[in-house]
Amino acid sequence: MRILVAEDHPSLAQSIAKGLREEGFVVDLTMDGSEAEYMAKASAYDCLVLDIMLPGLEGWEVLSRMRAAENRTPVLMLTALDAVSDRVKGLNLGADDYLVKPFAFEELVARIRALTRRKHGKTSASLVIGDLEIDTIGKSVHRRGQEIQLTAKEYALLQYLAMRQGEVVSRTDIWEHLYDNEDENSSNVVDVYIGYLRNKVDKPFGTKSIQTRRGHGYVLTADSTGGVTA
Amino acid sequence: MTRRIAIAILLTVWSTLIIISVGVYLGTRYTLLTDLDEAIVSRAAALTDALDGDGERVPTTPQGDRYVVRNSAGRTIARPITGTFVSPTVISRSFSSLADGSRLRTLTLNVQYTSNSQPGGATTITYSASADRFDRLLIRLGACLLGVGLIAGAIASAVALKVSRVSLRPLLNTADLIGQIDERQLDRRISTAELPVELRPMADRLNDMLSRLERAFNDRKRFIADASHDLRTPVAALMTTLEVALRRPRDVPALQETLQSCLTDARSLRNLVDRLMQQVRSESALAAEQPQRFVLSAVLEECIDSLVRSREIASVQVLRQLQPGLIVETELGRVRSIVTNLLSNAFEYTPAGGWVKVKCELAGEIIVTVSDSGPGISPELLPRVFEPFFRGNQPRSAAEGHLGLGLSIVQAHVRALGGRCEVQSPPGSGAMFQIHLPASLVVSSERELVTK
Repeated sequence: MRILVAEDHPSLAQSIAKGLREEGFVVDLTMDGSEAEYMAKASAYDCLVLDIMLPGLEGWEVLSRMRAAENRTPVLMLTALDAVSDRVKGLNLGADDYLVKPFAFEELVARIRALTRRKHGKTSASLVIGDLEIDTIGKSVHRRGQEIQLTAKEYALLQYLAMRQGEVVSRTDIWEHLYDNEDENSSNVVDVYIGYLRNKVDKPFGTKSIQTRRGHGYVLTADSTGGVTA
Repeated sequence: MTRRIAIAILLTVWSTLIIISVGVYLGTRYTLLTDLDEAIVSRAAALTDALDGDGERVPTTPQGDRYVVRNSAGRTIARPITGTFVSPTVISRSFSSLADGSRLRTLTLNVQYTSNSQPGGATTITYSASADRFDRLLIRLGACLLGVGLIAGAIASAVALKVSRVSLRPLLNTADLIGQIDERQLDRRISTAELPVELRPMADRLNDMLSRLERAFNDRKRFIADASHDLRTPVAALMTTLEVALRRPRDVPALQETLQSCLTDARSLRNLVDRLMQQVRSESALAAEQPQRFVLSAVLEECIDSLVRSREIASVQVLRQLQPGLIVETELGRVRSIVTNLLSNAFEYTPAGGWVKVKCELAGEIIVTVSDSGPGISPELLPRVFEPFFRGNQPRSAAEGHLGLGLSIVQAHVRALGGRCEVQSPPGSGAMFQIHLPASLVVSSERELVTK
């Protein structure tokens, strides 16, 4: 999950980014409104955390320009303005959620999760693909009741594929959602991680749930064929 | 109020009634007495007719009347007097009471008479007649007047109470309305249309006062809203930093870094609170201090130097054009705050390599000018620069705790000193702030000494 945080208070922005990264999100940070608009246009984010009082371009303006350009990225407005009229204005402009400063970090995380879940059409915090179960809150993965130990990157990759199960996801797409702007790895790293993931998720169970569509990307499906022989 | 008006009306009615009653009583008494006296004189005259002649006739007088006739030597005479009365003059009139309680009216008459048998002479007749009827009439009249007075008084009190209540009703209604107004209803006004003309000026003043209160209250509300808004971000930063840090175990360097970041946020919070307190104090009369005598240019130099030192703004040149020897007597703290805030503002907007100019002179009034080579202020923003929390186009630098309060603090202090603030920003050049303080603050100036 890749998040853009647009907040101009230095330590608040840093702390949000740090906390979200530790939660397994990929975070890009900007302190300027017009830069936020540009970044939201340039990369595919799963959620945008947007402060209203931003230098360069106000949060309101960033939001309305994004929506005018048919950008449907979920937006969580983060602001010190708490009057009902301000909240209504934000929601009317196309914000998906609203959090008033100061907030509990737990709540911010929960709301971002909810927004990204909804973006991918999921209603529950746990994802089930055949006999594969992913608990997005506890970040644990089980297949046939057996826990699978994954690294943070492997988990993030699996969760992203699971969010879009049945869809072919391009390598660039995966790369964009799993790595922030400062990461120097190329998109080839995705192939490497797919390999790691197959070794842990499919190989021990004899399944082929992660499939390669040559020239297109990867797809996660509910394949439990191997389960019969195992 | 109702009771007072009623009492006033009552006193007026009653005192008028009492004066009229006393007048009627005295007038009637005088008339009745004159009537009685005339009756007595005519009876005394009838006496002389009876006495006239040989003296053998005993004069008949109404029952109860008494008389004594004395000659000029004062001896009582039994002898009849013949002749006719000429101009009887009343010498004395008096009331006297008898043992049985009845009263007599006694008149002493001096009578000149002429007689055909003897030479004329003077005789004194003392004639008493019963005053019972006179007394009875007066008592009846008094009772009548008293009765009328009491009834009229009672009616008057009822009317007075009613009238005062009716005439005070608009006032009482207004008082009710005023009693209902609290801080949430400061937009309510007294409607003057239904008030009597005399009360309208009062209602207008009250409405003016309500307007002023409403404005002040709204300003204050906005101030508090803005202040809490500005406090929220650093508080959010502190909380988030701490929450994120506590979510998992950290090593010492990481915790130190977290604490350092929290300290920075805490400092910026302290700055915000300091500025807020300064703003509140600058507006309050409690901030007034004892006026002191000081050399204005010296205080300006001090402010400039300490600011330049603390900010380490070597790259901005400070030009000073300070009239020396200008001694003023006023609140030193306010002057310092004015100058420091103006200078901070100028430094904040002046880019490296620019200049800030400070000028002070006495030209009709004390004029302190702080101008800079910064970007200036756009004309549409100029009227708002002295508003609290106004930040202009400057991006928020939260770390510095910049609240947009500096200039509003300046204005509050300048007003407290009886002066005014002006700001100019001609297109293409920097901003120029001018503080005008009354010349009455000046104790002495060298320029004056020179011209003298």
